[in-house]
Amino acid sequence: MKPMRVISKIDYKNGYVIKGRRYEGFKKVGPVREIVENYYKAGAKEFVFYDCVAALFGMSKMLEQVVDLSKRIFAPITAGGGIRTYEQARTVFENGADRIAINSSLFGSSGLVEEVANNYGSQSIVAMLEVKKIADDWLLFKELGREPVGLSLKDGLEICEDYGIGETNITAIDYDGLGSGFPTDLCEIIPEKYPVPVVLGGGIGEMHHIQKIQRFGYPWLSGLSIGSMFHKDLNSIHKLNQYVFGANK
Amino acid sequence: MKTNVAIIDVKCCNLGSFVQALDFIGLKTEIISNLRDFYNSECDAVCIPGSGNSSQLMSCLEDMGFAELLRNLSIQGFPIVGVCSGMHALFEGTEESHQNKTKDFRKTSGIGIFSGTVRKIFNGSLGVNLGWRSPFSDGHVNCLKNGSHYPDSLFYFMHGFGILYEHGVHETVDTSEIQSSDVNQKIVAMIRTQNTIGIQFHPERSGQAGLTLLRDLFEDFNG
Repeated sequence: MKPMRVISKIDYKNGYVIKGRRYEGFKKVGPVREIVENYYKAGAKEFVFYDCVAALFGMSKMLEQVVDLSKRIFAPITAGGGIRTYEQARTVFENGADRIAINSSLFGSSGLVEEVANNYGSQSIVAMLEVKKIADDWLLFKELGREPVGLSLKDGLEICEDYGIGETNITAIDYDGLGSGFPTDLCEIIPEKYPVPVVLGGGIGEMHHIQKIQRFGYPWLSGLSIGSMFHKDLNSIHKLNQYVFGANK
Repeated sequence: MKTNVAIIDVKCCNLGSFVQALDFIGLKTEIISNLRDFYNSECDAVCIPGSGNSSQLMSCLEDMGFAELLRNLSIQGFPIVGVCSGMHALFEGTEESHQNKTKDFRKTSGIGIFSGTVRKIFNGSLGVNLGWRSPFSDGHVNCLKNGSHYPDSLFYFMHGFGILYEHGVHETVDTSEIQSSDVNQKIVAMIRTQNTIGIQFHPERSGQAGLTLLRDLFEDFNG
């Protein structure tokens, strides 16, 4: 069985890693360079780097950070936050990101997804689907959970499949940062033979949360996105690697 | 050891991460955007990095005149390294089309240094091979002559198209098993003929193991 991917979720603002609870009350975790280097040295194998300010106001200093990080850490980096045009996407790739993460740009007619896919391949795009459960339905949100997209998670999954997107990264907003577990009922929305690799995140704080998700054996599950668990305990990176990859990793 | 590496910029592949990795292991890198850049450079190896659309990449290389150059360089034994879609470009063709959304898999001609056609890997669930795999089952790398050994090392794969392994290929290969829920396939993870090497995974993003492999690779070229 292939090892599950473990992705370190780095929410970023103005030079710092930040973390909120349910996407609110964001607090500084530490300077981004120090945090990411420490995680990499501790064995973190993959990163999603999301500029929370850019997500609201457009790309700002995200690029400088991506260049800086890609000189120091030789692990896959997905970078996003405010990417709205092809030129912005291209700049992110040229500055060291392996893949781009997009949310609101998925839902519109900008042509961004097609143009990036035609040039960089569809595997280079990660769809960040941020969801809340409203009246028994999982609905999509954008702009850091502040604005409803007007579509459901099911709609979002179909859009990703239709585009041939490289990965669907789903965050359960109301569980994010709490470390109390991921809402596995969300998984029932995803068709068993869904062809796009899925990463789940939001609330994963303990090993048994991870084991619970894995027990279902979902064929579409590619990896888990981990934020506060690593922020709270650097040793959890090594423990998780041992669990996923075996001893000595 | 080859120390001065020209990296071809075809404007449709990520360059940054590859340049950073080669810089980190002490190689001099130079980005070349046209044939004149190449002839003016003092490079002793050429790389085609890639995490892109192999059809687009093959077309760009052909249009820029690099396809013919690379064919000639390969015959002369000049070191060439292609990574991911850069590896794909070195084959005879690809089914990955320009129009991903329509899934129109028109074949596009490649440089033809390696035999075979780049095809979609598993048509079932999870049509992308994404994550950490062990391409060297006993740690031994067939494609490197210097006895490089990578026991238990994992490397990062990220591709929806690739080369399915077929017995009887005349090139030297290392293969990797990939699995979806109902399909097992063996793909080419690394391939070599003389001094032309193709790598399906991303050594520049595979942590220390990847950096070590890159260093061993550039030390391994003849001459």
